[in-house]
Amino acid sequence: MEKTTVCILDDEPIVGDRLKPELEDDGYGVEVFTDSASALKRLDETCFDIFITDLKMEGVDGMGFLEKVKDKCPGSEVIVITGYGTLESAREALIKGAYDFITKPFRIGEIRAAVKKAKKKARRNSA
Amino acid sequence: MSTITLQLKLKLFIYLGIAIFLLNIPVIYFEITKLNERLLNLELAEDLYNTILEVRRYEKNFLLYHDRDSVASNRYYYEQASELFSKASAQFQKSSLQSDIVQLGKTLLAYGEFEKFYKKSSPLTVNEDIEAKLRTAGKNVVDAADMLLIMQRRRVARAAQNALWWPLIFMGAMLLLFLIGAKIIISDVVQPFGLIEKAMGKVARGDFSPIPYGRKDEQQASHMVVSFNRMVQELESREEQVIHSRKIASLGTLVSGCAHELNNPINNIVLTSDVLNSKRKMTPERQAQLMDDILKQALRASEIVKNLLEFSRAQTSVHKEFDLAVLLRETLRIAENHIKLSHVTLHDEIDANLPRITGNHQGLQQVFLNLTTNAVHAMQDGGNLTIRAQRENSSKIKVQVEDTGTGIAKDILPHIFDPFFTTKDVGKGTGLGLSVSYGIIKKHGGQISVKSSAGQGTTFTIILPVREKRNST
Repeated sequence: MEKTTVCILDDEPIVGDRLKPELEDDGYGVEVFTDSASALKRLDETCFDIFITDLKMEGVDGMGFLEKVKDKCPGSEVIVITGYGTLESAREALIKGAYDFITKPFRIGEIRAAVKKAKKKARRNSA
Repeated sequence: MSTITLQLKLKLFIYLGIAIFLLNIPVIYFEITKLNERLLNLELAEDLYNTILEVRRYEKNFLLYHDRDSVASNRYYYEQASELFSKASAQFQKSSLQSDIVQLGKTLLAYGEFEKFYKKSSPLTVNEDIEAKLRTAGKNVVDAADMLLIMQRRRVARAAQNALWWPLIFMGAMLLLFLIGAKIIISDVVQPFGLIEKAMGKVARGDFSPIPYGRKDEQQASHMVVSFNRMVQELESREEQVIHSRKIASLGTLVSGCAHELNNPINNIVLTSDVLNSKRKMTPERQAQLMDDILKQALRASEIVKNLLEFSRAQTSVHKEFDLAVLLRETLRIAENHIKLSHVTLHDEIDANLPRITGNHQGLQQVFLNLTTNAVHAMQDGGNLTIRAQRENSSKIKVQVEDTGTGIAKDILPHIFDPFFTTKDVGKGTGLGLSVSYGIIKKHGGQISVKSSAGQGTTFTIILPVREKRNST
């Protein structure tokens, strides 16, 4: 079976740096981006199974990125992470098709669990 | 008087005015009637006098010609006079002329005594003794009638005077009443209006001090002034509420900004700790890097908290006297590199002869550096930055920082001075710059305002007062 691919987009480099090895240990193929422009460029080339994106970013923000992902890769699942979660932003993200909404600070375990569940959903989408 | 309301006072005056007017009518009616009556009596007295003169004319004729005709005429007019006298005595009986009428009656009666003499004397011869007596009696009658006439004329004159005086007295009373009423209206209505007009001007300028009046005028102070003061008090507390709610609103922005800013380093620390805690194997270098990350992120969080404290703390700053033009040029030198790198052209329109000002040197430098940096940020593709400083008037200096950058959208313009409000991307702006600048300018007793149109550019205008040296706080 092919590796499930994960794209991590957060302008805080530490987030990607810490999550990447952990998720790779779980058997995912992980790519990390710290700006939305390069992530979008990569999105043109391939659809990841799972996207993890921050909300507040330079250029295209997390909400815009979510829309573009859902537009191009309807079968992919998106997990939104944010430093300041409000009910409004959570609702907006879910309406736009996010799979989960996690507020910072979070534990690595939470992300691993969320990715695991998202993987099942993504599998069902492609099946 | 003190507790009577203005309305009651005015009512009282109106009723008093009506009462005086109504009293005026019967008094004048009475006076005119009296005058009329006296005029009629005067006519009667004149008739009587003239008739008595006729009596005496025929008496003279008789004494000259000793004829029967003269006697007959004399008797005729005497009868007439007696008739008029009885009429007059009825009229004058109860007046002040009673003694005069009685006197006239006596003389008439005495004159009448000579009738016997006429009847007896035939032929009509008169001795000198009787002639003298007759003349004396006649003269007495004329004198008494004349006296009555003179007295009655005086009474008519008095009545006419009274009929003239009473209306004058009433008019005087009305005038007095009117003057007192006008004085009350002026002191209770017009003067308070003047005070309120002045106070309203002050309220419009944001000064909520009540209209002053001393303890002893307290009872006389118009209800209007008291009500106005109450309203002003209410307004002031409302404004405090508005300011408070604005503070709470900006506290919301502050809290959300703070949460966002702090949650990122905290998240980094949590993730790194999780990695260190996991049983995964790692090189000592990697371990050292993770430890270093935790330290760096913790310092980053504490830096944010420090900034926040600096923002909220009333900074104790040293005030000194300095040249604003020099400060502005220093600021531009600091920003020089940034300006050049962004391909921005600087236009220096700073008047070198600005008056010296007293203030927080460091704080003001921070303000102008902040405005300059913002301006350059708004012109990523180059543009013109103009720094203008000139004397506005004898007590104010105007400084303008003008850019030709992206401008500020109308909907966010009201928020730019809110703490933590920022349009810059994460990590590039704290959202504290303009709110701190606002606070610094306000502390100098100055004003900061902004004009902007999207796509055209932005102009920040700062007005700073030129003051005599003041005590540093």
